[in-house]
Amino acid sequence: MNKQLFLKELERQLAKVPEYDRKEMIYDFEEHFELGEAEGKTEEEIVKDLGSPRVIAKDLLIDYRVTQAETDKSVKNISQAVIATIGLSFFNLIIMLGPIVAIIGVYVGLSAAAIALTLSPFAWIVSLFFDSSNALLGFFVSITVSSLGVLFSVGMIYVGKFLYHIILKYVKFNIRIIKGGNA
Amino acid sequence: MNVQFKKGVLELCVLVLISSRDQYGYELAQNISKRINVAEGSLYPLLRRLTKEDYCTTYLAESTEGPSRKYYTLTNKGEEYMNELIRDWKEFSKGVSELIEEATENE
Repeated sequence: MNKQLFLKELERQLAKVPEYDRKEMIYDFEEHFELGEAEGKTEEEIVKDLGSPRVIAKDLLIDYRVTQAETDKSVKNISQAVIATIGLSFFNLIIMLGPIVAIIGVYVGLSAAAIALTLSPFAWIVSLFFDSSNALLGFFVSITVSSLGVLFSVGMIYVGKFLYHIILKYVKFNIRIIKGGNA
Repeated sequence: MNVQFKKGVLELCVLVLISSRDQYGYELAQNISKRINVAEGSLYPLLRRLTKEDYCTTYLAESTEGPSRKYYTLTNKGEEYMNELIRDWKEFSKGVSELIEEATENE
C-alpha cells in the first residue's frame, strides 16, 4: 500500500466525522509521511510501520463518538458511541448489547407506564360514555393516578439522565478493556 | 496492574518522552519503535486522547527544512498522571520479576 491508498482508506473510514475534525486527524498522518520521506523512507515502509488504516480509523472514530456523547447529550450521540464500540469486536457485540438492550427495555417499559398513568383522566372521560354511575369517584381516582403519573414521569427523566451517564461510563470502560487486549 | 497493559505502556512511553522534551508525532513514533514493537499509527489516536484529557497540549513550530511540525508538551496534569503510571509500572514489573525468580528457583 502506498501513501495515497493509505490516506484514502483512512479518509473513507472517517467519512462520518465532520470535515474539520477529519482534516485534523488526517493532517497528522500527512505530516508523518512527509517527515518519513524526508528521512529517505519509501511510502511503503512508512505504511508498514503505521499499521492498518482501518484499525487506526476505528480508534479515532470511537474517541470522536465518545467525545460527542459527552459534550452534546443526545440519544443519537450515545447510540452512535455504543454502535462504534460494538464495532470494535465480536466480543463487544455480546458484552455490550445484552446489558444495554435489557436496561433500555426496562426503562422504556417504565416510561410507558408513567405516561399511561399521567393520561388516565382521558380513560375516565372515555368511561363516561359507557357508564356514568361512578363518574365523580372515577374523576378523583383518575386525577390522583394522573398526579402520581406526573411525579413518576419526572422521576423517569432523572433516571434517563442517570442512565445516559451510566451507559457512557460503560462504553468507556469497555473501550479500555478492549484496547488493553489488542492495542 | 490490569488489562490496560499494552495501551497503558504506550501511553506511559509517550508521556515520559515528552516530559524530557517537547516532541512531534513522527519523532515520538521513531523513539518508541526503536525499543518497542508497536504499530506507529496507534500513536496518533493516543495523542489525540491525551490532548483531549488535558494531559498534553500542542503547538505548531516551523522547521528550517520540511513542513511545520505539531509538537506535544506535557501539562501539570499530565505530569501527575505520568508519575502515577510510573508508580504502577514499577510495582507491576517488580511483582512480575519476583514471581519469575521464585518460580525458577523452585525448579
